[in-house]
Amino acid sequence: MRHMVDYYLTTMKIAIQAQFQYRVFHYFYMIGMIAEPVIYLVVWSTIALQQGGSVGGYTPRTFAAYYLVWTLVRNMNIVFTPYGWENRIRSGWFSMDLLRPVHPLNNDVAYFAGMKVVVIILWIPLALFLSLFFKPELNPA
Amino acid sequence: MAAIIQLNSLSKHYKVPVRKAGLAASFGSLFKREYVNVKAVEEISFQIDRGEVVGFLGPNGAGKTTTLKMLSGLLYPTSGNVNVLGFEPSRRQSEFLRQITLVMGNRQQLVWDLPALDSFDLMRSIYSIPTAEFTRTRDEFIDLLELKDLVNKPVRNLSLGERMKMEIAGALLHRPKVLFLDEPTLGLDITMQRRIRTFIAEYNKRYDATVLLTSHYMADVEALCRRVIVIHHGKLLFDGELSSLVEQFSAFKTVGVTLQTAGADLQKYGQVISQDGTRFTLRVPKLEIAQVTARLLADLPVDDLNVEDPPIEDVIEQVFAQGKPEEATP
Repeated sequence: MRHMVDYYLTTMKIAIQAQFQYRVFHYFYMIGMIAEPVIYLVVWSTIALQQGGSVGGYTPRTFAAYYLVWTLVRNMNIVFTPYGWENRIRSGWFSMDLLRPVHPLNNDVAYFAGMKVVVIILWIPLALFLSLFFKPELNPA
Repeated sequence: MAAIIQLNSLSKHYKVPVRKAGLAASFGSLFKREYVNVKAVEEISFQIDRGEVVGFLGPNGAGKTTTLKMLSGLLYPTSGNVNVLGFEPSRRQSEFLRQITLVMGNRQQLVWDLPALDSFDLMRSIYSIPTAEFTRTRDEFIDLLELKDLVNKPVRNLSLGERMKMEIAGALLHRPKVLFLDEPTLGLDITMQRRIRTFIAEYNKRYDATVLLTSHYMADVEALCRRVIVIHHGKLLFDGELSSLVEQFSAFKTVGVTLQTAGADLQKYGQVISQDGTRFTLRVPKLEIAQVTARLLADLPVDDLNVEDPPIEDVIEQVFAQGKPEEATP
């Protein structure tokens, strides 16, 4: 158990470091991350305002809260594992994973766990920006 | 001595789809596919003892990598038995994988974007190496392979040779007892090849590791392996000492002779391979060597004369070309 915890933490650390290697990639990733919710937000907010302030109970501020959370959830869900596995098998790289005394699935789970830490770090400034601009109103109840 | 690697009538056959080129054939293959059965490895048997360094030779497509993959558990054999360190490799038990390594010259384990030190740390966690032991081994390898100035550079910024040295260091951090090395010096310059050879020899000596090495560079084999196993078309051609290979497969020796004067015709003594001024190199049947050298010394004003086995590359080429011992035909 201790071995697996160490393995997961080390792999996560590796994933975070690998992500930090490419700054420009992250600038573009952040643009992609914010562009989509902003478009949806503007469209729905406009419709809401034209319909007297809300659509189906959603006001521009509740839309803002919805898309803020949506941005995080959507980016946390992006994985390339199926394509990654296929490519690894076809290219022969999977052999190297199979030679390790740890099931290859663990590597993917740990690596993505690390990558997603970076996603959260990138999401925080975008969330702050969207919050300042669209003034979200979150009512989880 | 205990056998660490044992193969008994090991075979691997592949069912490979084939079709003609072109769109029509491609479309047709959606409905009806044709296959050929390729016998990559055919009933080979050998065993390797603890601490041996064995050269595994064969031309491209001979079945070397397929055999190494079966030995490391990446492929299931079609038939026959294989046993490494008392394990059946294809079961890929964790205890087995902790004791072996497979280094392939064209595959890498290190994280491309990060300095190798980070990948080394990953290896520590994969093989759960105690920190003190890991640090000691890592520093030892860094010294032996002269990696000190390289370990902080991202792997992608290293040259091919530097990367290979790093790969080998990373692959051995858990101190495997069995090393399967598939062309570890592929594409490297002579200095790098020598450095890696020295390291492998040192590792074998220090840890009494068993090494099975494939390489197309005969210098690797000559430097590291007393014993060689030769396969061709998946079949075992030779298993024995390197010197016996030369003995068995080369019916000729090379005679180098330097004369005091130029202009002599040496064709009657043997096949003249090269001539540089008064220096001649002859290819002479082994059985006639004593007689020919005696005649050369008696007939000509000889300054210098030496008799050598042919270069190992030539012998191996003959083995591959013929697949059977060469006949001494004058």
